[in-house]
Amino acid sequence: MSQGFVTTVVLLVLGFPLIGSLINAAFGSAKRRGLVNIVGTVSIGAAFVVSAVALIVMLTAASSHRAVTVTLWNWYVVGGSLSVAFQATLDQLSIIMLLVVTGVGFLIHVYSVGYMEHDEGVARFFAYMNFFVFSMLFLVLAADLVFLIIGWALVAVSSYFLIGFWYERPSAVAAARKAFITQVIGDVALVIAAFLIVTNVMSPIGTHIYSLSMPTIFHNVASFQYGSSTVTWICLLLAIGAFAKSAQFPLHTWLPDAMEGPTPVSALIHAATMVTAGVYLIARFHPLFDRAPIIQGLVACVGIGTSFMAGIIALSQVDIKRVIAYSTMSQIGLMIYAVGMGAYAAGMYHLVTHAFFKALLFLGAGNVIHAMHDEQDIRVMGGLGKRLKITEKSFLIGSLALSGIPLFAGWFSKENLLGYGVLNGPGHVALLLYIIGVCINVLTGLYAFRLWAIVFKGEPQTARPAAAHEAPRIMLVPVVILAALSAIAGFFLWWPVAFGSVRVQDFTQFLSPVFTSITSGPLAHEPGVASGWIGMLVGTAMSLIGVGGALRLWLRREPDAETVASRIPRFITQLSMHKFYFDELYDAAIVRPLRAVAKWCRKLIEPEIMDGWVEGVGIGVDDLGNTLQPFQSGLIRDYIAYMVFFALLFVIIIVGVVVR
Amino acid sequence: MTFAHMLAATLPALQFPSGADVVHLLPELIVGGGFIVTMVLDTLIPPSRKSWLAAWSLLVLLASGAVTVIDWVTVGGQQISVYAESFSYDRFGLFINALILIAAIFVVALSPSYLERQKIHHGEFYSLILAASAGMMFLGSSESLMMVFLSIEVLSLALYLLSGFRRGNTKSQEAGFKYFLMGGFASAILLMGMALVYGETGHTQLPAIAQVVAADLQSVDPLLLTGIVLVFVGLGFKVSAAPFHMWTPDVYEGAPLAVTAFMSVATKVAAFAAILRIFSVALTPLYTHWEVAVSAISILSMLIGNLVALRQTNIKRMLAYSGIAQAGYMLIGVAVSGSAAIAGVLVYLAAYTLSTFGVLAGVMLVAKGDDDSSSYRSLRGLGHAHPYVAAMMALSLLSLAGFPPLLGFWGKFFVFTSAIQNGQIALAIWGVLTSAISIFYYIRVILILYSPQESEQGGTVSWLAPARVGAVVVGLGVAATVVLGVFVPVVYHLALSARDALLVRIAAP
Repeated sequence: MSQGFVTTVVLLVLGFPLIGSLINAAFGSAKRRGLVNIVGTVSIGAAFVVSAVALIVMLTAASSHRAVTVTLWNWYVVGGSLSVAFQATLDQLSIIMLLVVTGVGFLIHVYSVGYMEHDEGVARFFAYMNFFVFSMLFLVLAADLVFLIIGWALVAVSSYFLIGFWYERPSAVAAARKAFITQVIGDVALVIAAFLIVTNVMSPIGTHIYSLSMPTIFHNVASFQYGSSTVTWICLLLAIGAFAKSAQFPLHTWLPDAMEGPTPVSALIHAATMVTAGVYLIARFHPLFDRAPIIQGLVACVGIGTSFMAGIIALSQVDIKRVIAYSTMSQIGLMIYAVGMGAYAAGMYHLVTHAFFKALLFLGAGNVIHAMHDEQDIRVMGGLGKRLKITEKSFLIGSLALSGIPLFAGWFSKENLLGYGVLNGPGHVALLLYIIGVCINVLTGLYAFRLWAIVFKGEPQTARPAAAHEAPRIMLVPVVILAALSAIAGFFLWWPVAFGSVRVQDFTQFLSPVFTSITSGPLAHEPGVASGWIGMLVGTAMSLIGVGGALRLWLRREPDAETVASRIPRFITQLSMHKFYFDELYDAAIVRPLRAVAKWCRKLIEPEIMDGWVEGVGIGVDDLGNTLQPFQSGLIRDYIAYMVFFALLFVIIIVGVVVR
Repeated sequence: MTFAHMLAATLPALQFPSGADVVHLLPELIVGGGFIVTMVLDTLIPPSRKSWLAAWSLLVLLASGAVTVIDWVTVGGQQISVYAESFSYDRFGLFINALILIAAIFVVALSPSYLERQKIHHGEFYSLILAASAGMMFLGSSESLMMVFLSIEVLSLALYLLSGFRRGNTKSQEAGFKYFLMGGFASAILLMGMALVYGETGHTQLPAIAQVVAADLQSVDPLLLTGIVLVFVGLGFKVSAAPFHMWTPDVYEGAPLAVTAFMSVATKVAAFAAILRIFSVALTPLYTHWEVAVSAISILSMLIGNLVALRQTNIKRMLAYSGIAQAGYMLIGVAVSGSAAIAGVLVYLAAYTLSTFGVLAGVMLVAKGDDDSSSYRSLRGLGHAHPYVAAMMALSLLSLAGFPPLLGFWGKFFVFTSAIQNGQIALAIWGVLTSAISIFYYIRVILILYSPQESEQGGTVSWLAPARVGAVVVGLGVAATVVLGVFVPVVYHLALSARDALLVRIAAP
């Protein structure tokens, strides 16, 4: 791919959503709904088309020429050496992110046209959505640490806008704030990591090079000793950044609350894009992570731990979107586990299929909520399958893909991912993590089909499901397309298929040059035939157990879920119901002490100590102002007198110095 | 022997203008000529059609701007002496020309509807703006103390009249008269200083002065230093640096908004051009002697400007004090006297021009009256009534406060870094601290713009629909602060080549 082509692609892909956002922000209004809808969706669709063209061109290039970094403009050179340039990398990793963000994003935007049909703030909504897509694309294209951080922060701020979209609701504002504060923790970690990288990266001859350009940094990755404390710290900070974005323990509490946003927002930022940014970040910085085995192990453990915990919590939640949110957290946990093992391509593969079926589930949930007139509690639903036939079928496909039932997209990616887990992972606990991983399959099957069974099957729990009606076509089409993708994406991503005259190798092979071109540390062992089969069979069996169990418990109700729950130790059900008490824990450990300190400061420090000098300064400034005020008398004779006085004063000082 | 021969014999130094000289001063001469033509045209155009004069003036300014751009390309890095070292034709002067023309174009584009509303739509307004612009542009190119003085007089006389342009208004009359008396006094001080410098060096041309000064550094005459200090006081008055700033708030408040906007911006640009030519270039050899005075004036300006601005409740007065503070920041660039500092000051001037104008133009676009519309209280709720105007003002205020990535940030950034690079860390710290103070009063205005209107007195302020031409022109200016802030190397490279042109003659005398 030529530099010029890549520059054009980058400018167009970033330009369309940004311009769309600006147009809607400047000219959009609820009265011009048609314009808003067209601008909002076409901008993302155009970006998708450009990305698709870029993919085709990339496939025609030799695999060694697929990664191209272009410098769009040199922003500023600090101190003569440290140049801050907007560089963008188009390679196998970023093109996949581009396609997912714009492709799934486009479908969600189309869906939003229907979902936001009666909302007055539609222009604001599409302006935010387009801006979010722009930020996300900016983040994945950035090849310069400064711009990576800018993209990282723009994603956080645009998600803040979207989560708090219904700003009249105090709960939405609180959720937005919570999400943003958590993001800022990650931002700070990322910024410190960037400082450490820049100050430590050396050229081969051992001199500092002070480069912000990521390709240069990765090229000189040898300056970071394998397992050294520097690289460990850097990767720990990067991992914290990733955990905040991807809602991993202990920075995960914002994600369920973020369901306060409109449902398309949840589909866009909590399924397909923002939460996967952490996975992308670790994959992008793999040359560093490969050299920090301790942090790799930590990342894998955190991923699997979050995944397991979220799976347990999802079992007891009663808000339809929260169940899906916890399922997202659980699936992202698996991806984080994969990249922690060094199985980057496997993690990215699951990221892609997950984007399809999770967006599908969110949009399906949106249809349900729409039909139920903004009701989200699944206990009042039931039997909706009779009224929402297409939504129900699509939701079923999404649930099958999520649970990892053979031949659905999720099966390929998840069994592939767990297959790596047979052979890889951090030292002594590798096998334990793998076992937990397959147990998560059971949990996934359980919560996915619990939701499907309770919402769509059985008898309506109230009168409202009976009055529900199917969503309009504009909301169904994206759902059906996503359902088709969730059903068949596994095939065309997995097996070699002919693409014109070019043969596309499977997804993993397409991506692997990104991870093998810079040999840094030991890569994950690919599962061989034996371990691959073992992994696949065990994983599939566990998924089937989970789904079967869910159908018995919640569909056929023999035994009934309530009865089973009463036999489980109480503390487990309580942990699940109360989301492992993390909100309470943070409230008790951080929020309340902080409040107490603040209160104490307000009572003691503020009036006694701080106000003293602040007011003192204030009074001083005031006095100074009052002292100066008479000088500004408005009388010309005074002004001229001061001028002469000061002129003479300066003359005396300057001349006095010389004469002496 | 003819009379001409006699004259040539007695005055060997006198040179007659050549055609090349005229061409080199074309941007200035177009505006100067435009001034005279406008005066004539004014008598021919009926009172109801005065906006034709605005169109004509715009034409003149745009023509001059076009020539400036062409000159920028053709002159390259040279520095060409014009009229026997009276003026210098170089990129530095052209850079200054461009800034002054931008300010003048802005004010002319905004004025017709504004003057109409104030019922002071007289044709002299445009001719006086052109006269002041011509004076300022000449000042930017002046390379001799005499021309510096003459240019200052040309621009000042026009501005005295403009300040008192609201004839029926006593405040405006007071402003005009006050500015006239104080300005006359400052001119006297300036001229006194120039006389002393001439007496000591025997030259009025800056390159010659620079040579004389550099040749004899061992014994510096006190009278020369006195002269230098007085010249600085005279110019410091024009840039409204403390403690020579007293006139600024009173005059800014009383003058019509359009004039306040024009003179707060363009006068400062022109006077800084003179300061840079005289102090940062010609008098650099004596740097150690005048450094203390300039630093002190810079520190005082930052302190007084920012502190007193905190207490203002009128946007014109606030911007007057903010302008004093901004002059202080720019004087850091003079006080550290590095070549990087000159480029920094030029970027700062560009940012200051666009941003200060953005704020005042916002008021001008929607204001009904003059005195009442510029108080903070009457600006409440503008953000809801006229979101675009308020957004332009808010962005300009943020730029003035120095928020990245707006152009105002880069002005401060370049000036402060040049101070740090020259080891003047105390000045940089002082600058950062005082600009932290300044954020308070800039943000306060933004807050007022976006807070709901007070309705307790029943009399809610109403605004007028902004005139389209003016809104577009100012919108472009504000967009420029954003775009040029993001693509700052563009401005910085222009400033660097302007700076390089300034140093040609000094580097190789």
